Amino acid sequence: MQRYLLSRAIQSVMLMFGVLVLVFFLVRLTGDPARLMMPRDASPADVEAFREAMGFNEPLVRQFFGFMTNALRGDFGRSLHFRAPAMRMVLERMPATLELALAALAFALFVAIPLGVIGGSRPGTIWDTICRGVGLVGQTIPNFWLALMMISFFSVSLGWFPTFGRGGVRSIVLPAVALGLFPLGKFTRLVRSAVLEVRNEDYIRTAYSKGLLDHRVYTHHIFLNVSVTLVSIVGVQFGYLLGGSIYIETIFSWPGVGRMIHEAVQARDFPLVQALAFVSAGFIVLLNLLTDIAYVLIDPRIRYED
Amino acid sequence: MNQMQDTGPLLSVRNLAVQFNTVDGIVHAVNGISFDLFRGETLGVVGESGSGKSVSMLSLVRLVPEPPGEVTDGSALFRGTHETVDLLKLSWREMAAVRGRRIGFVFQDPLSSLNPLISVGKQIREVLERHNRARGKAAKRRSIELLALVGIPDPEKRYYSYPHEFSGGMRQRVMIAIAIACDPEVIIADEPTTALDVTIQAQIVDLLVRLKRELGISVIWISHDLGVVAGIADRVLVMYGGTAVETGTAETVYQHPRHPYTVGLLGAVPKLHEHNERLVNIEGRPPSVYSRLEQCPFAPRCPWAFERCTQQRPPLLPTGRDEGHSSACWYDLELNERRPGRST
Amino acid sequence: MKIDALDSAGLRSTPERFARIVLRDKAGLSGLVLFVAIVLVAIAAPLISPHDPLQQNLRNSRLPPAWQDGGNLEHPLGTDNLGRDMLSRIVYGSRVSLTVGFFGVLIASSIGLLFGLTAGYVGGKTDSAIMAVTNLVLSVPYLLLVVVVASVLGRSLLNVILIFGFTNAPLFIRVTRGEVLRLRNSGYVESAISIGASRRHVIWIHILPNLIGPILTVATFEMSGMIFYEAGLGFLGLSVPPSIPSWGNMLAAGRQYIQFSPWIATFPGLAIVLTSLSMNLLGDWMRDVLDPRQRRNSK
Repeated sequence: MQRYLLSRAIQSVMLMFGVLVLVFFLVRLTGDPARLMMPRDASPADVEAFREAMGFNEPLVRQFFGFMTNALRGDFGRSLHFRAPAMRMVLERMPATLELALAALAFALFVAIPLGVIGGSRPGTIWDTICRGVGLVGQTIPNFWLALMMISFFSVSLGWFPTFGRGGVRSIVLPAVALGLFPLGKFTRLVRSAVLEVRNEDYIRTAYSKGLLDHRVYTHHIFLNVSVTLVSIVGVQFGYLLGGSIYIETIFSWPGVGRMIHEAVQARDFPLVQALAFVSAGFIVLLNLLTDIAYVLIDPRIRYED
Repeated sequence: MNQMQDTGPLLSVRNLAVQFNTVDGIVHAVNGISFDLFRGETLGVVGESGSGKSVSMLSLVRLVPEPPGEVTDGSALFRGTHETVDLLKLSWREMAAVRGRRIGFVFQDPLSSLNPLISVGKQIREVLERHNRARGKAAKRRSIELLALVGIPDPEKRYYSYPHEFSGGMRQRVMIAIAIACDPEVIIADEPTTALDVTIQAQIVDLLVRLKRELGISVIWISHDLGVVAGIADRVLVMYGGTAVETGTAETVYQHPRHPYTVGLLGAVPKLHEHNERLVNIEGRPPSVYSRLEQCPFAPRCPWAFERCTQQRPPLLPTGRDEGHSSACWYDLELNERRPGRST
Repeated sequence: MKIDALDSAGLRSTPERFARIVLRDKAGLSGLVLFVAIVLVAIAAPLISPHDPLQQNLRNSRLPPAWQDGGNLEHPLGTDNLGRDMLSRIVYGSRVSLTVGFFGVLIASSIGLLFGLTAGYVGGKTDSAIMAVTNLVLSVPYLLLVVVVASVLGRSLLNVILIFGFTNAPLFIRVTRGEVLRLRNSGYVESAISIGASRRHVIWIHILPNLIGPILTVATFEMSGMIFYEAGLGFLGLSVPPSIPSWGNMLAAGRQYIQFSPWIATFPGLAIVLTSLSMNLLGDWMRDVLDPRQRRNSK
């Protein structure tokens, strides 16, 4: 078990190293990072001065090692726009994004688990149809459009929720629902098909043969085994939520990492973009590691392997 | 009712019929079988896969998934120490109170039959707590006792182990511990040794026979293997095509089989000490029953079949050889003649 | 007894079974019809759109749809903030979405096939290297990757296609490799190799034909995803230039006017939903028909 987790941890570190390389080369994709980061109407002299200041005229290898050593110390340079350390700015925005993503995740799980269990345990009924419908809806409605429509209806027409900003419980409802719809559909589909599969397992028949009643069989047996599948996808979906927050935070002016990504990209503030990309990727990698640990905790078969 | 409680069979099943409603039509899996299970005896239920042997026994306690399964006819009087109930008329909740407490189960594949994510201790304990036999520390103590009783070494430690940490035989011992946990009156063992190594099979047979004797449990032992059933069953029920074709004491059925199918099955069992015994191969394959049976299900494969066999289904009738020996065949193997007439 | 009943239930000839599955799934069929309709609209855009999608008319700006007060049949779905006809823009917008989706998938699946086949068939270090890069790209939040690359490269239709083509390739690589490994270890490929079939023969005759099903299924879902993400990029102002009518660009404009003229955002969004719905139904259906191994869980 320790060896398994250790190897996963080493893989994660290597992955983060790869992300750094990727981030380094991404801003050099066009060949001239100075031109890319300066305003389009900047004079050639200004661009040249900027290139000099950022060290873009040094040999690529040297730039690379300079970038890597700084990055490993958590230093991604200063935001071109805000003149503040990029890393610190990103970390300051993180709590707001986590709050929104967790709210969206909670909403998705809260609806999807009961729905998926009901649908999966009664195949062919109206519940099953609803389940499949929800799965389809989650996959076909873009969250940015849903967000706009909900603002138009619930905020503008009915005035139930604020149209933008972060503050109070009501401000998080619409963004969380809009962001959570896609994972909601995914989870519903997954739980439904997992329940369908697990309830035909021999050990479920054993559970019934002990005289257990349905609620006990579902809560203590079926759901436990479904949760193995669920755990594997919650991490992946959390990564999706970070991506989706770019739209949702922009639309709702939610002061998180997602909105910052959009702003930084528009302002061509690439040191900030690099820090954002690194932190987001790091978060996903960490999440995958947590998923592995959760796996080990739930499934004794993995614990046993050495 | 009262006087029957002491003398009558523990379980009498009459005319049980089970069907599966599938998209491709109705499959008549069990077509009206009747049998008795007496106190303290082992009834061997023998047949090929698809003969309806498992379905009929599991449908008694509603462990056949519904839908598609459906019990369409019959009764199953279960004469308990307190009351007599018809199992087929119980509500789902009442049936759940019988399962695990008065009827225990041992299934074929002990690996897939135990929940891989739950420690075996908890899985035993669960049945004790469900039927209020023990709680908390007492439940744990009792579970460890049960593990010891079924012959698992170091039970205090093994209580915390997970199914995959056990060998196949040990897993089956855990299943047996669950089955006997609440002192049931009946154990239904559905091919309990089929998935095990040959060397382990004998151990599991011995264990079940010993527990049955010590605890006074009646056992329904489902098997496709006459060889296994031969040594342990008091009486035998031979099934084919969802019907009972022959029943009687184990000795009579083995020594004097009266149904051509039983004869074929016995021929198919290699006997080590009779090396020149010919191995009879039963031609053809078992029927898949999409229509209600109007004929003898074995007729298409039967070497003695004649006209009547395809026109009328033979009922299970006493052979007269000894008490309780019955066979469902239009051909009298002993006299070597066809039974006349259309009367039953 | 009724052995032929069993045969008719499942063991009949493949074309007949195929036809039965095709006709039984009404959802899949409606997905197909809807998708064909959308493709036809995109092709016939100049014929069916009532106006020039670029024609501005500030006096007619933000006209509501015909069935609302102040709307008229001249502009059935109303006009946008610059007075351009919504219906015509939506009709033309389908061209951008389908172009991006089609060519994006074409590039992604070609790269995926090439590298997935190499990784799965050659194995060893080559496999490790390809999969390391693949896993690296898949570990970066997808939308973030697309947004950053799009902002670095700048707004053009070609860039958008290239971005989706390359960033989606890892998924195709993974699927292809998985299938190749499975096929390679299957009995018939092993026996073909053992009797001396050449590598080319094995790949062309035994492996490629079996990849079509899974790849086509993934392609359908991915095309739907690309149409989604193209609109998203457009919404963030990172897709095709604003001069081209696309659903994402329309949504971006609609966002500004969501309070008083919600229809500017409503209709392009509905177009995205319909397209995505048609492709998802189609994808589920193809998975059923082409990939029987997955059937059990998909429905």
